[in-house]
Amino acid sequence: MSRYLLAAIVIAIVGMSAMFGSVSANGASPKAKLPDWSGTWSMPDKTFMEMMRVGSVAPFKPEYAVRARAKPNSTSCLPTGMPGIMALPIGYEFLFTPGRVTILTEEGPMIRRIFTDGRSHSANPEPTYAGESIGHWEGETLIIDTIAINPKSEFINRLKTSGKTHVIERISLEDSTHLRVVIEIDDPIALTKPWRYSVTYQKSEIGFVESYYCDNDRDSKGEPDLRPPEARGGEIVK
Amino acid sequence: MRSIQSLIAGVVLIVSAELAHAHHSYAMFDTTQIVTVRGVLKTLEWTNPHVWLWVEVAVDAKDAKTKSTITYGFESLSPGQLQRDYGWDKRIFKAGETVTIDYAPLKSGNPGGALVKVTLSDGRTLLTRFSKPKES
Repeated sequence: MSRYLLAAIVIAIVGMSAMFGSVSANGASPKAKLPDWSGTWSMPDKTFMEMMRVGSVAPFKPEYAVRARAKPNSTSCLPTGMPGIMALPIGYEFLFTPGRVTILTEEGPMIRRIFTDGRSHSANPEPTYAGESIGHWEGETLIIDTIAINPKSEFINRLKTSGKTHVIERISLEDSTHLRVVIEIDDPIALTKPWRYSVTYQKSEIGFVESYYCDNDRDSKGEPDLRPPEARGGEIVK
Repeated sequence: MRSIQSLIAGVVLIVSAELAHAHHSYAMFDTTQIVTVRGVLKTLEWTNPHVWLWVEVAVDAKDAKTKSTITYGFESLSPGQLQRDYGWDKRIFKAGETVTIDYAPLKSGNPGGALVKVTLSDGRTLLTRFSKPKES
């Protein structure tokens, strides 16, 4: 066998293994197919104001809207909960790990755990502010199905959920700096028909500002607490 | 120095009390007027859920009983909103600097209100959700 033939065989073997290796890596790792949602995302304040208008004309049953309107959770340093948490002027981060998407929010700090490992909803999930979220990917769109939202959570602006709220979200990039969240809410107790809306987050240059530790609430009692900040541990400019 | 430089009546903030805020109703503020006051920045609370500015304002001699200044508290949005949406940076503020504050006053008459605009001594301004150009 000539040296040239041997070299050709070696090159062919190395080349094929590299090729198969590459195919194997792509095929075996679902992470490799996922879109790039890195960085911090936030809803511009103007979008939030528009969202409040959208919420005011949502198909809530009138009697429900009166009954379920209460003091906002955040006034008492509680989480807004699902689905209202996704429509606030706060920062969001999306973390992808195998079988799971984790959404960090700047409020609370409330964490959403979305299981994308093929499991189904639990038989009797414990109601929480985040609810139980099962997700799956359709191409580069994440689809999330959320149930078991506790009735302290808010739809929007002080309006509490009913305990029977079911949320389906479709999240995908519009372009490299805009992430669209299409939300469909079904709630036979609160709504006359499913409420569907969308919000668009922008990629934030500033990033995740800080965890939302509600350590300076001066408004819980209506009239603001005007005691001097020295007594409350606020950060003081030197 | 006059404590309240000017009263700009009839300036109605566009947002209603119901929709104005993520955290609480703005019913405690008189959002039908914007008051302007000048004083010395004492403290910045760069905190959640709201940023607060504390400003010492001189009291008119004829009104003063025991104190020559009153500390006003001005409430704004959250640090995240102010940084991302309105370009604030807490390092802009220097304690001891004279600042001019536009605000919607507390209905109770207590010294403070909802922050509308900060004007620093060098003329730079910091805006918030409630800032609207004066039109008159």
